[in-house]
Amino acid sequence: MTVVHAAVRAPLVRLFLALAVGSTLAFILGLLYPVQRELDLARYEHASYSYEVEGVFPPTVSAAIGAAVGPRSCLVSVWVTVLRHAAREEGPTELDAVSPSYAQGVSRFPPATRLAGHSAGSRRWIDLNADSARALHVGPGDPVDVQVGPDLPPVRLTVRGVYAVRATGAAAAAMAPAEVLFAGLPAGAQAGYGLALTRTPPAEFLPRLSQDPLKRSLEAAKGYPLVVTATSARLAGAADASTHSLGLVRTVGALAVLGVAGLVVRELDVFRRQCLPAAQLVHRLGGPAPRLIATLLGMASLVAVGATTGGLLLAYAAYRFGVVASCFPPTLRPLLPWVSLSSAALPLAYVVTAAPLACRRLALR
Amino acid sequence: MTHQLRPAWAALARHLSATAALRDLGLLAAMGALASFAILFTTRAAFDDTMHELGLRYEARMLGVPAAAGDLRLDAYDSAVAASAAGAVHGGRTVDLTVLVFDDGAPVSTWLAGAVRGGHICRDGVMVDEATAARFGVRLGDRLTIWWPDLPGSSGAVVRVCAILDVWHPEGALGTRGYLLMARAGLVAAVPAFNGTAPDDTMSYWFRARPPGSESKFAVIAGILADQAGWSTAVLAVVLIGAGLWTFGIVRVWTGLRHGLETPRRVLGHLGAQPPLLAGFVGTVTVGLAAVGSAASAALARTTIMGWTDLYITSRQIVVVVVGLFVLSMAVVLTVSRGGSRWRRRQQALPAATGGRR
Repeated sequence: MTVVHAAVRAPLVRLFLALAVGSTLAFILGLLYPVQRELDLARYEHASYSYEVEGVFPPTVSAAIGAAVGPRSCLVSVWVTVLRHAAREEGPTELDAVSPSYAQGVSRFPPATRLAGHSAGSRRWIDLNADSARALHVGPGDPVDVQVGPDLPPVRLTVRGVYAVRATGAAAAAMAPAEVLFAGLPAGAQAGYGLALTRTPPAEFLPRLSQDPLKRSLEAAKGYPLVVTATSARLAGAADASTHSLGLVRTVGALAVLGVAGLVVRELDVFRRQCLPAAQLVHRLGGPAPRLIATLLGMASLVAVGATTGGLLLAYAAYRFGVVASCFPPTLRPLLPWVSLSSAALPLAYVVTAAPLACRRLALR
Repeated sequence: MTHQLRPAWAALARHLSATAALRDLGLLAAMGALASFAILFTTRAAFDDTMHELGLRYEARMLGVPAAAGDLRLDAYDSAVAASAAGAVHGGRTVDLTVLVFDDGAPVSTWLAGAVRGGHICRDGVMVDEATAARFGVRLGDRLTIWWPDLPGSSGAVVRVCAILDVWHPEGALGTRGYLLMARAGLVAAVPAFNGTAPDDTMSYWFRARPPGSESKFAVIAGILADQAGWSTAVLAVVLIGAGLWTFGIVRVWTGLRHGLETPRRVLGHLGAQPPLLAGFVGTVTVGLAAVGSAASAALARTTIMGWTDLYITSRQIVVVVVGLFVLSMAVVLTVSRGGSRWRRRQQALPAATGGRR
């Protein structure tokens, strides 16, 4: 058996390298569109709220609106602005200026999508999506300047967290405390909110919002009637707007599986053909054929499983460290073990199929 | 040297395993399909828009209403939707369209010089792009239903298809929108509620002049490639990774063939056959497999994209991708063959240079 080990060492190394390089490239391409689609949909797919209420909420009634839409809610003022860090600029950025009630964890940046940083920070914090963080070359702890008006000094905030989300129609998205941003506006500027996020069903909060004097205030601000949209409807809208359709994701997934399967079968077949002469020699010298074949194909399958798993990990690293895309969404991580198991099943299936044939061929010669 | 070629290659060919060749072809088709898919999908909008623009004949173009009238004026109306004709043969499919409208007597045939894929230019029907026609499965003479959901009082109008035009995506990068070209009189007759509606955009074309403020055809195409159709670092990265995957497949097939034919190559070498003849055989077989593999993979990728998504890939883009993969294969085979020859020469020169010690 030592002779066999020595004879197959070089083919095993070649098998490992070929499978690792090929499967890395195939997995990188195979994950490309699923990752982009997940980024497009993550904001609503993993939302920490159930309904969005659109309207015009003047600052005078913000507290009353917050109380009316329920305890687990948040008011948002959606800005379109520009972010800067050093000489880099990212815009237009959809910036959510969130009310203090954000502390309850309801926002358009779902906790499940957090890539870096933490939920607690200084008073002057800003959360960025991965695309913005990549474009600005910043991470948690770095300063970012937010433009609050054409001729106004920017508001400097510190990056607190980075999230794998994307706004519909704009790659750059951010979230920061409203009170800090509003303080950067000129004195006397009316700064209110335009969006309420809540977990409370509309049947509960709409009657409260329709009562005077709240209703009168909303009507005066031309913010009534309110538009209520469920996150499921938002998710469907985001799926429609995404350029990475489910069909596209399925297509690329099927082609990637085909590519990796073709590579595994081809390389294992090459290995089997390369090792057959050495196995025949050992068999003629008295070595048992089944044991020889089991040893050879067992080693090959282990190496193949290691190489494809390594390829998957390298592809993951290419996304995780921003080489191919801005990030690898944490919500897609549970998919990796399944992909790994599926790719490991290929060499095992090949070995189970090829072993009896190889034994018969060896015994015949 | 030629007198050696035929017997040497015939001897090598006898040692080729048909199973191994089929297996390698399978690998190339699988790797190539993934690479082709990535390249086809990411470059689709840019390719279609560029080919459409190349097919048109004009000297200059201006968006918006020009100070002086051009040779051809087209009014663009967005928000149109097309569905299959009455009878719903093609199910509930719809396509968002931009309708380009021209006035009677406008020299549309001059403008469309190389952009007509089939049929003829008409005033009483519509000219539709190839992707939209394929989406509904309509051919020349078939009928389409169009309507404007945002236009009050507009009901669907059934129009006849008289020409199929090059694919163009009016909204650039997404590449999901189609277009129709029709005469104003025909449009108003089909959709009376349309009369007097202001266009969303206006395009003017000059055939033999370039007035100030207009863009030349070259500038329009450069604009498409620069940004309009979504060219970016990500697109280039995808194309490069796809090319890398294909290169990897070619190298593996070339290496496999070379190792598989090592023994007959040595025997033939000792019998006096020239090494370039033998290397040429491996290269030729690899390139042959690459030619079949690239065509099969691009066809597989196109079939999958068009079967599983709502996107359309033109046959011209398939040809460009197949040719691109084939040229890349040739370059890879030449590079690895030269690298292999240099390595062998160095190995042969080594005993002489070191006095027989390695």
